Amino acid sequence: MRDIPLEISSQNLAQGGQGTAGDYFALLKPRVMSLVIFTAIVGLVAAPGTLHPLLALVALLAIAVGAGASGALNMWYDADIDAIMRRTRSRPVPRGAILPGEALGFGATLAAGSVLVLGLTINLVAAALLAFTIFFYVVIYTMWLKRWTPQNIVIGGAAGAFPPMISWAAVTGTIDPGAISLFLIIFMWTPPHFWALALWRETDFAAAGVPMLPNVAGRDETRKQILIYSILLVPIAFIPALLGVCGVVYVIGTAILSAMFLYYAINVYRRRQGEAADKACKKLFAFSISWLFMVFALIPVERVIGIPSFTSVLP
Amino acid sequence: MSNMPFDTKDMARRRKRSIVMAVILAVLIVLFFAITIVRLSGNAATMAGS
Repeated sequence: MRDIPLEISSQNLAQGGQGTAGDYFALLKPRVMSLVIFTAIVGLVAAPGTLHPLLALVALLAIAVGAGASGALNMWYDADIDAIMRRTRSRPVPRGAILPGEALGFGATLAAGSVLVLGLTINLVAAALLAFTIFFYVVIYTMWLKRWTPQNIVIGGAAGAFPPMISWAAVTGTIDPGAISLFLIIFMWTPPHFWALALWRETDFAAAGVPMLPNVAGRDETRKQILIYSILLVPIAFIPALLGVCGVVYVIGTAILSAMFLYYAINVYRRRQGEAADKACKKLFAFSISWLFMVFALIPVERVIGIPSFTSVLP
Repeated sequence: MSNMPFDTKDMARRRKRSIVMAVILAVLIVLFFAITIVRLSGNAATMAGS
């Protein structure tokens, strides 16, 4: 074993272990985690069958921790570009509060723990899906697609779409068409949501060398893609109703909300100059979050008030 | 340079982190115990049914 000078070893020790509990919590990307928890609750409610409330809570906890672990691993790998972008430079790793190695250890431990708990307490299908989701987000999206292709968000967005599928599998032990329909909604929603952000944060991504659609294909092409994905999202949002997952309240609510989504997307497409263009992007970005929240919230609301499934009321 | 790698502020921060960790571990112990009871009672109900 080589001798390590005392001064260097104590300096290194002092540099590590500086993160507070709050810094570690920030590594879990709590805002993303809250959306994951919400969509996972909807998956639990929408799935046919029942799960003991305590087991449902454990499933949600494991999914949330798995999502948080993905966030921590993402912050470990992306520390270099996070330090460049205004939006991300105050994250714990670029700020120096947590060392990259600490973030890696924290993320890897939570990832393994969440999959293990889900597998041992709920079922193997849900655990396998959670493991795949973490792998997909960390390896396929963060390590590969994000820095390589402007389509990164299209494929990488799948990682954010898995949570309702995992919670559905926690109830049924299977991957059903209903679960896939919930997956497809988030999958198709992600590109217009994220590109709206990228349009007004374009310089940030360009400075970090991340090939987002606006700085590779141009702003006009991005606007066109936002509109195309928004138009495709509308029929996809009705698939759960056609599969009998939800009822007429969902259909009416989703029709109104989707019309509003299209209105905002058209505004982004039409307004291309100056402050009005930025404003249109910000509005679409903000509304897209509300849209997903409200569309998904309609499913548990229907369950609570006892609305029959859409297919059962069709003649 | 001081021989102590951590100053008082660092130590306070680490202590807080350790307390949070202890609380999380305690909650996990209770949670796993409760899960065991739920799973066992579920299995017992299944066996009684058959």
